Amino acid sequence: MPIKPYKSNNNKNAPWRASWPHTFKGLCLALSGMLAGAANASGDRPSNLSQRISAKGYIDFRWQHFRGNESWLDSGTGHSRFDRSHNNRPLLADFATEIKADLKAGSQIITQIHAYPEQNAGLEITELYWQYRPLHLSAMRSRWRVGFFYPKLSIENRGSVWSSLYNINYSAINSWIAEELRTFGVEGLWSWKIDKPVYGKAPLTLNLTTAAFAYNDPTGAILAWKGWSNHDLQSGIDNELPFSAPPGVAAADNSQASNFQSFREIDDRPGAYIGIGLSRKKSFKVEWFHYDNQAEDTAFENGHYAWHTTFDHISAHYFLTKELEAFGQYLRGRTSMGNGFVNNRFESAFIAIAKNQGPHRLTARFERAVIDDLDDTVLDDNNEAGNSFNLNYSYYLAPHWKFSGEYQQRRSRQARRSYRQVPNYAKEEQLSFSARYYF
Amino acid sequence: MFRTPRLAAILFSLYSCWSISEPLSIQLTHQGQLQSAPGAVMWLQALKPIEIQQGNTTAAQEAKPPHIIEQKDRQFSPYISVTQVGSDIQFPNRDNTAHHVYSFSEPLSFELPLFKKRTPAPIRVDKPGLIALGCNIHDWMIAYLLVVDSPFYGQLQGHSVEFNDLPHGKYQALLWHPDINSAQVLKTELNYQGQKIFDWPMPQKVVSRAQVRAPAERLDEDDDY
Repeated sequence: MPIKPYKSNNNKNAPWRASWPHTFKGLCLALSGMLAGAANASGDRPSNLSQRISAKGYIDFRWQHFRGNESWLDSGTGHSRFDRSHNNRPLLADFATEIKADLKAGSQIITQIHAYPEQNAGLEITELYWQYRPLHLSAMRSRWRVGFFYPKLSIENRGSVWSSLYNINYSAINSWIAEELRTFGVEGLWSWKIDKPVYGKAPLTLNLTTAAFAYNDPTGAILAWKGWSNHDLQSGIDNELPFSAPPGVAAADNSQASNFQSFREIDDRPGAYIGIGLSRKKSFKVEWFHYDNQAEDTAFENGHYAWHTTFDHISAHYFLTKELEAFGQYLRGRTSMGNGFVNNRFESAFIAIAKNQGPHRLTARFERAVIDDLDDTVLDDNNEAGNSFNLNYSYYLAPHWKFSGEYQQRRSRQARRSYRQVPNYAKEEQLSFSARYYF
Repeated sequence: MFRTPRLAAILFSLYSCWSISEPLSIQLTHQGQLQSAPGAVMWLQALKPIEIQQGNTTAAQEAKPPHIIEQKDRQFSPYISVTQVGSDIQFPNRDNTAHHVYSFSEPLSFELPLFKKRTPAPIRVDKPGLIALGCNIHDWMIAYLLVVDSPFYGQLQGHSVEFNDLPHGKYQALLWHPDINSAQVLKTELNYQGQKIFDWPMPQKVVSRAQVRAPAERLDEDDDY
């Protein structure tokens, strides 16, 4: 089948285009200038710099044993982060820190940084933004975020530096968010307390989130061409993920760059999301999000396609008792690229139950992750279906340590494995032990 | 001989001093039973002007150290407190995290950025009334400061509060606690003529609760959820 040509429909001569930086270095410079301006304009009494800056985070020492296909990070067809080449030796899995600088009351600059010495040499800046919580006279609260940050979709990844609180390996949904999804823009959150205050009980809160963003045009590509995964690797602002093009893609006129960048602006069209939720702290939370990057799916620039990715996400968290919590996330969406070259429907859900008992926590997670390929492009079959199971035990040794043992199993059938002379069906098993030092 | 009258005079003056300084204990009751409301603020306002033997009041007030309300373990301490009009109030942050303390109350409306371990300059309160304090970052943090226009004030320990060196006279006694009377103060008249105990009957049974504790925080948990 002839590959359809893809052309960017961008108007390259548009006068406003020149002021819109397309690379991250340009954008980072613009952002740091903005942050410096905000710091100078804070107008607060001078105080000791060390009182304004705080850092927290963790160092994760890991030992793991893996059975299955070689990792996608080493251009394999496996979906774990560590594979057999990392077996039975100590690993420095993650050095993660969150740095906060208080500018004035309610105004902060926050950045999250990860270092993955086993995977790459540099630092991954996974978030960098300015946050402002204005003071309101009413029972309404608001929070503004401007910069590069995770949309707060996750129930699981609400740990320090966006780690999973419950598992070493994230669920498929959250692994994908870590790989490809970030807001580069402005987000507003409004919360209303909607019931009468009751002593010792957190208020019932209605939350409305909305955001406009850019630099998330390639989102969907890794999901289509690599598939769902379970890992704990978070993409940084300027991250490049290895990418093995399916033969149908490799043969296209506009070839995809071999080093994939999740966060690029290609079509100059902003995306948006909206979320509505209801919550009571330590009691329950339900939230619905609709996300649409509104990408022009025929646009192509510097080896990167724009993918029109849209999804709905529902999360729920319920405390059955003070110590027993059940939670889950469900995501269903579509991604398309190249005038019908790729047209996928993706869907994943997990349900987890966690029992907390003093310093102990036991979590079991069951999930399913599916991709339905709806286009008829040959040699680019993205069909996939998989189930995984994760059992984690964690022990907290206050004030600094958390020790975890985890078994992760993933069974999946992926059509594209046959292009690599590997059976479509793969079973991946991973036993991990982690010792985390929190500072 | 001549020593005896002097000794008697000394003993008499000691006795009279002691009898003057014997405290008045005001206790809360309901249907004959003592009612406990630890921390509740009580203050007495003289119904007729009373000459207070305190020397130069202004100088005494200026020398007074500021009234301290700390942020410690992500909670205010003390939860309820009382101070006199004209006092300075200070909000030291003992935590290793930032707080954003504010009040929209009439006597004192302010917001303070409290970076970790920071003690800001004191703030003076010039008006009497109730100041409800909150933290914009930590929702559960609430504290109350009563600013009173009287030198006779105290806080209940258990079911009673003691007033020392109270001049004889007629007073209006006032009481405030968030669980007893959230919006307005309770009042009663007191004619102090040296009695040791004054029972103040409450209109209903008193249910007073302790300060809400900060939610437990795991070391790996992000607090913004």
